[in-house]
Amino acid sequence: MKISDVNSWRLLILITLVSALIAETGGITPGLILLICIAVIVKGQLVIDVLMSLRGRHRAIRAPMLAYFYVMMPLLALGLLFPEWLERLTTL
Amino acid sequence: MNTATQGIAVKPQVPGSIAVWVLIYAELSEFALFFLVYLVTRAHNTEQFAAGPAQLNILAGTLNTLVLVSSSFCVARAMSAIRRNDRQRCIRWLGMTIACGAAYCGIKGWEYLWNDAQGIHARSNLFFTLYYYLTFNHLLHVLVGMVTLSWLTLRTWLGSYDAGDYEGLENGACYWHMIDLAWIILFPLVYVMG
Repeated sequence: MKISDVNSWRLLILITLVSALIAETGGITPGLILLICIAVIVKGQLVIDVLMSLRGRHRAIRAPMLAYFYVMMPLLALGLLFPEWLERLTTL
Repeated sequence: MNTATQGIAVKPQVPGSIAVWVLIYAELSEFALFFLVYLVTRAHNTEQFAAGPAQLNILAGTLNTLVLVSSSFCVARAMSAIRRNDRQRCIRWLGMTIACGAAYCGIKGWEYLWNDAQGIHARSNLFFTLYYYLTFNHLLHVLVGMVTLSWLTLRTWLGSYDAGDYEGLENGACYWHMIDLAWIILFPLVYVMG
């Protein structure tokens, strides 16, 4: 799906406002953590593909940029959802 | 007659130079390391990190996010303008990007003052130590980006860039997008999910 830079900006604003609303209401559940991580991936992809104009071009540049979000966010989600496991893993 | 005088945009193979991409990957790796340190510290201090985000100024964090994503849009528009050889519009969009950066710094300053009034300091607990380390580090990147974009705006005004040669400008734009990308992860991690 092709999206213009203006629509991309509108979508980024909308996702940010929804995230802020979640932050204000408090009570982060595992479901919300996953939802926020997906929202961050969408935001990252919008910036990389539309605002940086990397979609469909410059594969060697685009792939590591996208991987940053597709790898980092699941890792963060795992760390946030299973802190006991991470604590055990990082205890000397 | 070259392409610049014809007003035809020439698309380079890679946006910006390879050097700026090495810098961008290095900076993103640095932020990734900070995020992992945050995660591990959180795992060892769950109570402090669970209570931390609720004490932060969510409005300031949200406004900073809105300003930064808007600045990314502005710098993207500046690049579109220079590709069309529209230097005046490019300068206008770059000016708006720098204004967004200045707004970010102003909001961040207000947020730190607000924290101080609430008795929140870098040594309050580990959550706030990492909060200050991450956000101040990001603020420094914004300042570097603003200085870079100011220099590039001056060079554009002096006629150094046009539709045929805008690699320097694109380097600055890519760096600015990187600053936005780092904040896109930082905001929900510290302010929302904790």
